[in-house]
Amino acid sequence: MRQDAGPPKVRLGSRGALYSSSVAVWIARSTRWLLRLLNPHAHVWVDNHPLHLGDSFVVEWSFRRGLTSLRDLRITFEGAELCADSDGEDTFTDVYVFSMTVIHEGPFDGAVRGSGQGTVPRSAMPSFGGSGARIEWAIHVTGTPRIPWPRVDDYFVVKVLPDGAR
Amino acid sequence: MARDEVVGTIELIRPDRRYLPGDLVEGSASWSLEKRPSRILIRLAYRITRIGERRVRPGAVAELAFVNPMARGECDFRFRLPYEPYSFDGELFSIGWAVDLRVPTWRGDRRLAATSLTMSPTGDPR
Repeated sequence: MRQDAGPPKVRLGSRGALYSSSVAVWIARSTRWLLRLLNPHAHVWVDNHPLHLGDSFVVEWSFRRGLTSLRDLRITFEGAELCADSDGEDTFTDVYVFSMTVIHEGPFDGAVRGSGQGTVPRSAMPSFGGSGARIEWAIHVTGTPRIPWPRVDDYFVVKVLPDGAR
Repeated sequence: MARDEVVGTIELIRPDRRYLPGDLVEGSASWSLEKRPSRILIRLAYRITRIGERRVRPGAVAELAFVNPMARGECDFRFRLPYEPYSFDGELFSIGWAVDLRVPTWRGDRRLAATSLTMSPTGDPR
């Protein structure tokens, strides 16, 4: 028998990285990406997804242990403008963060799991995807390894809908 | 008839041109052309404009087409706005709404008139 499990809890997928076509940059980024695979790997869940303007939400996260350990951990909820751009050879994305809420910040105590709360600003712009320009909301997870190593720097995209689109 | 006598107008009933998501956009259009066009198009659309660029990326939402109209004419129109995207003034790009009056030509649509409007829960751009 199906039981009411409460609001749906959605595991969020990481935002894909944009790579340059330049070979040297590609090799450098690939090496960095490979090293980052050895970092603790974050999984993030948000309840009530997709969110609406003004919604409060709970974020849960967990880490799969890696070869490195983190010194600190910062989890923010960010809204950003993104524009695809090109200089003829490379394509890149201009990003401007217009809203940021800190959900968790502090030394990493080794806890595999954690949770926090956030609110979507009611006066903000909802998610939008147009040709070459978009508004994207994301849970941004950053952490500094204890050894000289690429940082944990992952985005988990969250869909934010207009208030009337219920 | 001289080319500069080809004119069109778009008038919205609401003078402040500030709308809420889902509102009705009502108004009238008029045109005066050299000869009878095959069609007259009235289009509600949002446009994405990159800051510092003139290029505009349109996103048409609704369109009314009047087939075989007279060279001079006028008509009323009514569009229901969607719930998104809101009008937006950002650092990298902006989103604006407009009602366009267009006439098709062999080189593509020619815009005779356009009237901008804003759409958001407050009526102001985000």
